[in-house]
Amino acid sequence: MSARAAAQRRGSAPVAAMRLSPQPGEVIDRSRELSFSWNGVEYPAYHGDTIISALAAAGERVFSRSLKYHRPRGLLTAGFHDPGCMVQVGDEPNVRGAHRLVSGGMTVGSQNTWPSLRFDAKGVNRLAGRYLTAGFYYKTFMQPRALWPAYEGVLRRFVNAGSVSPDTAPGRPEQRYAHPDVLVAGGGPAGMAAAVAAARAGAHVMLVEEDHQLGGHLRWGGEAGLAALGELAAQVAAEPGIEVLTDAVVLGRYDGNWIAVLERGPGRPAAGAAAPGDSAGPVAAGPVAAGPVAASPVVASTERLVKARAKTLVVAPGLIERPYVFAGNDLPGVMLSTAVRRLINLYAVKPGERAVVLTANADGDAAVADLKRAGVDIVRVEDARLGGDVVAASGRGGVRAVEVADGTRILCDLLVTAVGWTAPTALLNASGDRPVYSARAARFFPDLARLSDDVLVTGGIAGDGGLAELTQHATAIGTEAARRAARIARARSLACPASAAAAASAAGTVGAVAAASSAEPGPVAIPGLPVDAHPELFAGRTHGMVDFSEDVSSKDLLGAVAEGYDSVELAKRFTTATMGPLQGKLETINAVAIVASATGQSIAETGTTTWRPPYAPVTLGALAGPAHQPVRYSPMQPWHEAHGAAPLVAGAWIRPDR
Amino acid sequence: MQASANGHRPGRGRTRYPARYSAFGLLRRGLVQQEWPPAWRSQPMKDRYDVVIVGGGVHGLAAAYYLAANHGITDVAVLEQGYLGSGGSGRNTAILRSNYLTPEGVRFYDRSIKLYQRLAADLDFNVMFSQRGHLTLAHSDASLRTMRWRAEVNKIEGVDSDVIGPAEVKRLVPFLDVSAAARYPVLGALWHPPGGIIRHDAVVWGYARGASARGVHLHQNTEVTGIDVADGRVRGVRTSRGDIATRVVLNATAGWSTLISDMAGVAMPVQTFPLQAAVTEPVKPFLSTVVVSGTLHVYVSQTDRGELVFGASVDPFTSYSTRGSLEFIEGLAGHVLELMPALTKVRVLRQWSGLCDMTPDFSPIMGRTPVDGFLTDVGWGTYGFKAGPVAGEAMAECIASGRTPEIIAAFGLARFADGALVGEKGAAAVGH
Amino acid sequence: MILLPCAWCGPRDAAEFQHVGEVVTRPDPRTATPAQWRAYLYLRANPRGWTVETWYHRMGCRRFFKVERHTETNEVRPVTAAEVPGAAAAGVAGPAGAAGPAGMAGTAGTAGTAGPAGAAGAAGAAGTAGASG
Repeated sequence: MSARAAAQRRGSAPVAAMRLSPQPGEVIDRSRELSFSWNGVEYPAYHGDTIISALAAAGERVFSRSLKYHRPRGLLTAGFHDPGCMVQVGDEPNVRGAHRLVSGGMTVGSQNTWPSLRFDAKGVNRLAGRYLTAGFYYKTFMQPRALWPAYEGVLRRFVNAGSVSPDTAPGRPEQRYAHPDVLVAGGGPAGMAAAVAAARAGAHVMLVEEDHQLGGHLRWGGEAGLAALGELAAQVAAEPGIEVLTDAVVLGRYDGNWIAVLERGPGRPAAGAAAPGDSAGPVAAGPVAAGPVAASPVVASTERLVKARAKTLVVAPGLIERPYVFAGNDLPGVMLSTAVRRLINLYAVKPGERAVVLTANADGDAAVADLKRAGVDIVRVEDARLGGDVVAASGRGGVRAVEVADGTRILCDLLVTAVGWTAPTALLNASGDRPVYSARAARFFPDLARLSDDVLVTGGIAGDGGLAELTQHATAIGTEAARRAARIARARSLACPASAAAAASAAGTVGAVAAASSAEPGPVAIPGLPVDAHPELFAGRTHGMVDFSEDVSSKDLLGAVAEGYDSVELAKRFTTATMGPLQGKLETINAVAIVASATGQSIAETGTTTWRPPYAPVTLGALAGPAHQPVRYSPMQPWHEAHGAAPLVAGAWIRPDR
Repeated sequence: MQASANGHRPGRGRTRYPARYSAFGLLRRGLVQQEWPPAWRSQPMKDRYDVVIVGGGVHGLAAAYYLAANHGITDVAVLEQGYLGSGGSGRNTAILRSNYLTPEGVRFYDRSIKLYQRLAADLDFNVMFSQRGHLTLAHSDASLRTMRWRAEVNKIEGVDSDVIGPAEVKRLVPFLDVSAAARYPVLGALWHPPGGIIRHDAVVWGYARGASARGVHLHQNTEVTGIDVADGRVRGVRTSRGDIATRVVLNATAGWSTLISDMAGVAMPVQTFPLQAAVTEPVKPFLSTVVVSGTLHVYVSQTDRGELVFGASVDPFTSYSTRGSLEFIEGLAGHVLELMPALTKVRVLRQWSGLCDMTPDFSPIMGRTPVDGFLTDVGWGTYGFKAGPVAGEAMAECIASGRTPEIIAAFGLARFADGALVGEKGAAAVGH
Repeated sequence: MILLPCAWCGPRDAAEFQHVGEVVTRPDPRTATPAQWRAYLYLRANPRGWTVETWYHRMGCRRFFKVERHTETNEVRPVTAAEVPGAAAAGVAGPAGAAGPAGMAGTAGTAGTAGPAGAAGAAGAAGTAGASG
């Protein structure tokens, strides 16, 4: 039973029953306790907890209900892109609960559950599942036509999302322009090493990391990982030419390396609000904090857009772990290996009591070690490299039992899978890349030959290898990125001869270095990266969820192909797979593999759907930026005022009235 | 079947589908776990057809369907270089309306609306046409006058449109800022109840299903690489999968229309611009009509899944890129928040773009060309999807009868050489 | 948006400019037939690839100039001096091609060589651009 149910039984508030003793590398600050409310009940948290990590620490496992079938959903990835962790915070819908940090007094609620998360009335849809297959609405509701508006009303009632309130205060945060020589997308070890190398070569660098700290997978890489992280972090801090943005994500790379970066963190007031030390500015466009912002107890998360014209872009986003498709794969308690390693190492949360682990790679093996360290009882490890497999998971409201390859049924409350990776090639696709599938590595790789000259790639997305190899590659890439940036700066000024002089004097470090040196350095040799073999594991022996947000199963995809929607694009549009809030990050490759198997083609022949910006969702307010209302006066305005004219507002003009 | 406004021959019998769609069918097949047969058949490509249609979007597929259904011409091939509906038909914001400015325009798009209303029944495919009403906001006196002009022309042609004031606009769209403090105050709007939104992919699939059931061949992943013209008439097409002998080729493409027409040696006054669109995450339904603002160049609707779908005008320079730009979503977000400031926390999920063939007079190029047997249904700019059914019906008539139907007489290619351009800019410039 | 190489203002965002369009030759209005005149007004090549076009620096120096742009990748390169009349007279010397990919990098591939295009382009374009504007 969950901690909350136990607490309610006791008649007391929830406690963090699953919190572990302090872990090296944990990001929570145990000296700063907070509390927040979840569906009306107060929960404890530490500063640095995310909403979901705090709830998981209290033993909660169910955070939402799925779109169509209203199945209970829990943690899957414990990162920003986690389909079951979308919650409503105050009047803000669709908040990513496994990324959003807890702030004191926060009011968090589950979305689209009635009467409650536990006893959701629309759960009855689960029984109708065999009839409500994907695309069922194309086959019905046609006659009589006059009833279509009524049918539509019913369909709209099932919209699984947060709500907008007409009273939401209009928030128009500031935007910022930046002109880095090199923009590094991704603050894991590769990104950090590339940024350091570029800065040492004289470039102004902007390093953008989606999570709240730099380090990527080093943060849960044990003692060795943390030591390497410390070393890299010190190098980054020692370079004055690197601007680090954490809790920030590159939304898209547009033509000409025009790059949109979204800063998400709390801590900066909305446009116009007074900050400590400021004189009172114009009326705030957004919520005004009472008193100095630093002391404000509840600081709303404000998104701010940074628009960067980078000379070169280094793409180092790492890899996203993929879920495995099998019956019951969406039950609360079924998690990816990165999820358990984040929970244990970053948030000191025990993910469960009894675990079965399906592992096909070293990260899965490392997760087993982490689980053991956290005191979780590892009941069975299925090694996919030796023929192990998970057939099905079952349980009401969460995992209770798992059936494995040899037919054994094992009781457990946690099932961890580590079956492979997806390359987030979004920024590369926008640069002309068409990734190529490698059956050896069971994932897509960028096609370096197709990349634009001003875009470079490093890190896990480019290849495998140990930390030393990846760092060496990233260092070479960073140096080369700086070199190309200097060359681009030079070329741009030469293409506009009349302004060349002005450009050279206005250019930053790279421009000055470029102008000063007469000999252009040659290209940096980029070492190759190995490509490790990885078993191809996409879908198991039973039908399971492919798109968790859209409730699309492998059965739906096979049905779509059988009905003639036999390309990945048609199957996507018919079933709506990959069209949810995650936009395919966890779904696309599995969907491609299933369509490929149904059509008898290879994954390479089947291709994928298109990554499109924004990489992560961005609010309309952040995109719009401040609303500047120009006011125009004629040159006679002072005379009008001196003679007591009443102002007449005529559009943007102020004219005299009378 | 009712006679059309143009006196077209009624369809030759109902289309016989391999399995009719119905709630009962869902129940039965769900019970016994039986799969549905394919929505359209996959056929080997022949080396000759009576008619070859280039372009597997709504225009091409509708033309194929009406050729078969209205005229009994079934030896037809639709050639699509990608997957069905991969062009504009799969990228538009699916808004339907008939509140145009010129009488010819109103008649034309109204015929389309009438066909759309029957489409689900005709095609046995729920295309989900939601006639929830279409609102075009006016932010200036001049704009309000144009709305009044459009309303009167609409009414004369029997189309329901009227001008309403800010109070009624607010009642229809509670989230809209109609106060005087708005930067672009709403002075009124053109309210068009028959307008609405539709599931664009479903229209493509429905027409494909109907055409295929009547014997039309659909060939996806088939790129046209050349058109053989001899003595001023079409002899055949060359494709990436082989050559086809034919006497009739219909160019029903968008974005590629000049490339295809160049193959036949026909020059056209078309320039290709990207038209971008974006969609947000789902939020609980709060917007029940389509809202368009001409001044702000933005249109927005909410799907039954709860997502807001937005669009604006074409990009400011010609391009064949579908990558999208940051300026587009920034500008769009700014304009949407001018209209509905409370949406500031709603998140944009995805942006994309399609290619629009713009003509000098914001009207299409339909009918015969100087090359015998080569016809076009192109130049649809930003208003092609809403015209799919009527265009397909008219082109089918044009091909079958050899004469240009009255309804498309004003849209011939020759009008540019003759200087007889159409004046639809007022209603088509922000195409939605 | 893409960067355009304005010879006078330097590389600037395309939002500052107005896209005038494909460079087309204007027939002599005194002798052209209506059909020729209308062909000039309305017909365009609309290529999917490299095209020479005119841009007007609306929010800057307000000069017309030509660039070569790839309509699919949006890569931009200055029009070389040889293509623009009056370049020699303008006396602007261009560097040799050793500068490397000198164009405004678009999305794929390398750009052409640098050329003293901007100033010469403006001078040359001023004569013909007015009509097509």
